[in-house]
Amino acid sequence: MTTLTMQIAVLDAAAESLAAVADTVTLAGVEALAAITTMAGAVPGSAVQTRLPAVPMEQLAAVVSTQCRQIAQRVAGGAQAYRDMEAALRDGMLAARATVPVPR
Amino acid sequence: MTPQELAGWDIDTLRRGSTQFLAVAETTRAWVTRADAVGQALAAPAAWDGPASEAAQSTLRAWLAVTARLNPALEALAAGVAEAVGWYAQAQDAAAAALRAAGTHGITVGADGVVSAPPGYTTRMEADQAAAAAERAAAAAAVQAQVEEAFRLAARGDALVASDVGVFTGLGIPGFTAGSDFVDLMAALHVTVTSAGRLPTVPPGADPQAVATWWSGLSLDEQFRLARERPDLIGGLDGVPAWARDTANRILLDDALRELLSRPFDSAPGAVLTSAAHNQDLEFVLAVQAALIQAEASGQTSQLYLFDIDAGLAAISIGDLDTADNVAVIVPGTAVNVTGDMGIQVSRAQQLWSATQEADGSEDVAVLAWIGYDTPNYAQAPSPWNALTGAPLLAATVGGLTARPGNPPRTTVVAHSYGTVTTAAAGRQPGEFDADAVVLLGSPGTGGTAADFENPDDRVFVGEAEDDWIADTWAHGIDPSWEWWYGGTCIAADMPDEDDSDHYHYFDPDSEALHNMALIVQGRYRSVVGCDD
Repeated sequence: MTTLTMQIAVLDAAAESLAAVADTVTLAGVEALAAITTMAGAVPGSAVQTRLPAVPMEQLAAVVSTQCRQIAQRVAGGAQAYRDMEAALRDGMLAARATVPVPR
Repeated sequence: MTPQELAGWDIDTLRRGSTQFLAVAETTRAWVTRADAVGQALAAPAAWDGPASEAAQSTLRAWLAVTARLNPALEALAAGVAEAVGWYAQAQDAAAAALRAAGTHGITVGADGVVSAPPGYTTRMEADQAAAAAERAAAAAAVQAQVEEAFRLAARGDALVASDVGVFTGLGIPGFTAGSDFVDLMAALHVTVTSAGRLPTVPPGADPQAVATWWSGLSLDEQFRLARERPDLIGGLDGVPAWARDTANRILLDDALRELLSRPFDSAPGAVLTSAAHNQDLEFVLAVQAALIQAEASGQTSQLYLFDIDAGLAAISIGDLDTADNVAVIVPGTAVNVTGDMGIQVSRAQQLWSATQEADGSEDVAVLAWIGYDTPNYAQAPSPWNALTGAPLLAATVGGLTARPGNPPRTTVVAHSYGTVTTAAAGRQPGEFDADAVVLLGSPGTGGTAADFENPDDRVFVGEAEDDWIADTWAHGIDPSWEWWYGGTCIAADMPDEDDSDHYHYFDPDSEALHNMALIVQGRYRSVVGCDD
């Protein structure tokens, strides 16, 4: 395995991990909001109903998740750059092989 | 909260919700650990290097710093709510028991928790009646005590929840709205990722598009540091997002105000000129500050997009220039200056913004009150000189607003009076003038025709009120309202009252011009009311 191939593997795994984290954060926001809504309806007049919904849980999760996804995309962009570099090197080597006699 | 409400609380559902909330809070540790591991993998020497790597890693550090502040608060909140459930359960038990006992003894419990006992003992009662009355009175007292205990227990639960919600309050989260982004969140949490080393170099003389590309390649940390540490470079740099310019310009405004107010007034005879300049600067700064307060009072996001005390220029937005679907830039005419007119220009921006919402509130709009060039005084107005010097500034401003990566806004330049001369000169600048549409109001000519804008005729709109004599002076060439000669599209621009149909009422709330401008800003070109409609 070449260094480039290893770097691509590291970055691919990193991008995948961050994308998965972004998905988890989004889901956490939805679930937290659902939990708050459920609780607020169960105890009318309490602070759970009057104060807790003021925490913008879903928006926070959305912003944190979006940012994480953007980082994942940046990392994926890095992997793609290495992939392009690898392809260019391979093409260059193939072209060289076509012109240079291969020792038998 | 009434005792009846309290007794009716659904504690099982509350407990279920709390368990779910706790489970969500507990997941945060797992995903932070995972993201942290990614950060470490990326930081390994052989993994990835270069500016893109540094930018990604810095942004990830910022993300981890934000979650490091948010997640403990979330866990504390979930734990606090779980603890409160216990108090709420006891409160509900006490209230239900009180109401049951009240029912048994024919006792009334009011919504305010006050227990009304039945008639008590009197001397005319028989012995058995007296005993029963005494029993009811004792029961009433017991019910009252139970109701009060229920309230006390509920209040303990409330205090726990309020305290943990307060943790978020302490983080500045309530100021965080649906339109906020990660940068807002970092600011709210006071998160900065400190990275030692030099600040990136601002590209000299680059066009707005190149600046936008350079900026988007920086890490959030670098963007923050540049806006805060070099506001003099960032505040007026076209192509930089409005949030960063706003941050920079507010720092400049604040610094200028402090410096001017701290400077001792020199009353010596020889210091007259110094003092006059000092006063002028102070008036300028105070005018900008007042206009900014006025803009913020509109309830919309307001950004100080330009603040240049040396050149005497400033610009303030109504609406978020970074996220709006539609952006309008108001270009003023003769004798408009920041010290005397910033507030008036902001009012015009507010009127236009409000009119767009009345016409169609489905798309976000931002209007920029722009005093971004040196307008002529009345003696200079016949000359195109100020327009020619202002044109590149306007072109760069529009270019900067449309350089937003990913989703550039629809952009309209709304020019008034001599501002139309400046706008046309910007249209004639080498390169493309990035406005999607142009509105020329009360124009004394533009030194050319609608063809200067390189927009189709149905995107160059000309409005002239019936009694606008300034627009009939031909001071700068063909009167644009001569549609067949000038080109463009003539739009209705009168006021309901003919006496007001002059040079100064185009932005009045009930003017035809304002209604048409709102439609144009939103890209509803076919709905515009023409001169002959």
